[in-house]
Amino acid sequence: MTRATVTAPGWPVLLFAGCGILFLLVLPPVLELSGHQYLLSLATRALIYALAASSLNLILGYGGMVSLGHAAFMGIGAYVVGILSHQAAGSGLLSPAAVQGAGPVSALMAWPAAVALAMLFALVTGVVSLRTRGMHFIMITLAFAQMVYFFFISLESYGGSDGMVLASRDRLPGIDLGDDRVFYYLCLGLLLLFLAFVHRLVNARFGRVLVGCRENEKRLQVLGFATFGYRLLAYCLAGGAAGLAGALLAEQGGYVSPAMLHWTRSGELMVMVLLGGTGTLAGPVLGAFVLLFLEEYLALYTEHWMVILGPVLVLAVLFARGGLYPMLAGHGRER
Amino acid sequence: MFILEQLLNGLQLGVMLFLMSAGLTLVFGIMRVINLAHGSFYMLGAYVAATVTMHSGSFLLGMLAALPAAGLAGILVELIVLRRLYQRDHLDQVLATFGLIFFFNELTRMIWGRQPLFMEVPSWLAGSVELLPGIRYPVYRLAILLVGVVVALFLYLLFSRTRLGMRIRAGATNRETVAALGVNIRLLYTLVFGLGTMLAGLAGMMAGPILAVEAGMGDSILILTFVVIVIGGIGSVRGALVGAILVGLVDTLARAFLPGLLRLVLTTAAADRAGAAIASMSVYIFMALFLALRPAGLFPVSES
Amino acid sequence: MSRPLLQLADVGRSFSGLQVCRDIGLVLAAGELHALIGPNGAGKSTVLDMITGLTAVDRGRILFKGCDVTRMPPYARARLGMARSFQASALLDSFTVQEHVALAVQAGRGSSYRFWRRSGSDPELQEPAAEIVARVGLADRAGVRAATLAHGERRLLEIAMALATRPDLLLLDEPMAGLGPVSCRRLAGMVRELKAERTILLVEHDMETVFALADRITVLVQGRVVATGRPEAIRSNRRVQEAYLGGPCSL
Repeated sequence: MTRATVTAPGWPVLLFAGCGILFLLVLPPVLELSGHQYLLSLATRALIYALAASSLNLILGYGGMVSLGHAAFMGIGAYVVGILSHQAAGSGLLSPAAVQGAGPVSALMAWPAAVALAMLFALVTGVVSLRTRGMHFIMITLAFAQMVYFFFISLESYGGSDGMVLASRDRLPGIDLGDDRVFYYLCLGLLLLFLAFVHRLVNARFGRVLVGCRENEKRLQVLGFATFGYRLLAYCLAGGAAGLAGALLAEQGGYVSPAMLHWTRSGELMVMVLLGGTGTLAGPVLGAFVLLFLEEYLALYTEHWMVILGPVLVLAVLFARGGLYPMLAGHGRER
Repeated sequence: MFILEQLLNGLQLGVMLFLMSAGLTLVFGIMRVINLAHGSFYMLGAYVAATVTMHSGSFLLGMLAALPAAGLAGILVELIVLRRLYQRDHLDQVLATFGLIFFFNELTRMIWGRQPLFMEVPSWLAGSVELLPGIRYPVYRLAILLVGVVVALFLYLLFSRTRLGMRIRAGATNRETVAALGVNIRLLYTLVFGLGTMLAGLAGMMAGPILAVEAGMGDSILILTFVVIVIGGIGSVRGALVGAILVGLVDTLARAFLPGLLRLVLTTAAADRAGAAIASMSVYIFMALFLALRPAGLFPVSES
Repeated sequence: MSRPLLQLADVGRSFSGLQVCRDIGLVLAAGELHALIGPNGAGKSTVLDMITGLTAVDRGRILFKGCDVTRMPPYARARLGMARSFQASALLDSFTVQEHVALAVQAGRGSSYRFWRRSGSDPELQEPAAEIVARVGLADRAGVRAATLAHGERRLLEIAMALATRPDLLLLDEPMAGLGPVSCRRLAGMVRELKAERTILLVEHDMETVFALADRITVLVQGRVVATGRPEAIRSNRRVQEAYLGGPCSL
């Protein structure tokens, strides 16, 4: 009786997920064997953006909160890693490991700090912005992100508008973060972990309330849910995950700059979510890969690739409603 | 005396923001569309004005070319893209107009190159006048203020004295009523959009001689425009006017005086750093505080 | 009569200068089925909105179970034990019938800050939900999404959701509006059944049902209470006839 209504994922979904994970697992050796190693760093960046886009999807796709300031969380995460590393390097506390090229700071300290600070920022701004709806919410999240953007620009000791270059990646016991392949698999692992978490979350009681808020928040309040708390917690969780993505991005690229949290970055994250499919688990991952690789591919043909990408986005909105993933997997919203 | 000058600077930024937000707030209020690409028309106005002025040597000709160019571009965009988005949710609107920004920014780079253009202040507006004994202020900036007053008056007359204006206003409060009155809504929307982009083009054109004309120049003013609209109340032109002046003053005055004020309590270096940091965030802090008190903005347009 | 379950005292509300409701007094005894009737635009839905907290009141007080709930947010009132069905049905389009009711069950079961266990396979939620779905006669539609339900099914689902929170007070907003005669009779039967279990405030246009089921009736005209009393008394009340039907005639 009760099993009948559990919407078990159908075989196309499982097939898609299996193929996707397999593809991501074999990607590094394949790139190496085919002589395309240079694409590994792009693939790693795509994984990191997939994590950020998935976190945005948690609030946007499942929670119906259209935030246009998500890059701020990434920026905060990135700057935490950058500043910690900068401080350690500058204070002469260089450990022997650091001299050998491994970073001076333990990732076990830097990454949780990045997540915590991003979550704290989400909490403070969420309390204000979640009181608003629709256009107001979009613009308030945007405004808060701008606030952070200008804050980092004004940090002259950390490079101001130029940002700063990190000496090397942080160290993690037992794992060599400096190895690009290892780093790729670490990012993949974190992404899959987060996706699994989101999957459980949205199907658990908490997620049912969150998705219900997307559909009709007032109805849920009349049912007896204090919806604000649920939305705020989701907002903080998403902020924390985006903070982690920011930290990873700083490690991967070896630099941080305010450009990482320019508002167009928030727009790009949103594009990834919508392009792939809002409110689906795999959508944002697909969207991140498609967008980043499309950029790379178009850039091979013309430096003015944005003049092509722009109309492609417009066409995607007008004609590919629901995103790529539902089209590929041949079904509607997956939960 | 410095204060007066800064006040005028703040007002002048306010005028720019008003020109940007007057059109955009109507698009928000009437069509319920989020248009991120509004800054592109600002940029377009600046580029067309700069180019025509450069080739013809006449600032007036540049102006005469920039306004219709921005208006027509707006009408085209409305006809081709925007009108298909009215029934969509905000998410789709954000995505599509974000794509338009990519397109327009890159298009200007293709046409005009990556180097910023510089526009001269026309000779008849160059120089400065003595406002009070000892205070000189650039004529050009005063002219901007004048244009702002003229546009505000024009919009006031349009909305209070003409049928078109009243229909637009009615459209912002209650779309169904207007449709029921048999007004050609599609045409009305197109006209409003064109008017809005024309005003954005006017702002861009006037900004030309003050700022560098470059791709992406519309993106930064766009965000300030959003702040203005949210503070003023979405859909309210009056709110846009008051909000624009408030934001213009807050931004300019904070930049001018905050470091000095902080020097009273901090060391000079620290005060300058903190002052600059807070000043650049001031507008957004102002907006957050403002919305905590009045979530619907200064002049909320009732949504029915 | 025992202590009233719900009490509205001089409640009023105006929208942009227009008084939609004024000096509303309403007392619901525990266990009764109280009907709220009145012509269109009389303010009946506004009264329900004020009771559930969707609309703030300008004046007056609302007491529920002896608590002053006048300034309480909707969710707190719901937790005290009121539930409501909506007239223009307010369903969650991507949820199935079963999921709707399970969510409502969840609302009545304390904190929903649970992040791991699938709610879809949680018997604590699904069993009571299935029971209620079956009770309103939607068992064979349990897996269907709300967006594809027929009008009558949506009404039934509204009632199922309201029941699932196990409320003491059930507020039904025109449950029969727009239904055909068969569904109408079925719903009337269900309301009659519920009457034995709970206190009900029923807003309804179908006079036959109202007079057949209600213990007491309150008549609302232009935002004012014109009369309250037993059905027979209301039927013969001249003021009601005048106000409601524009002249003396039989209801």
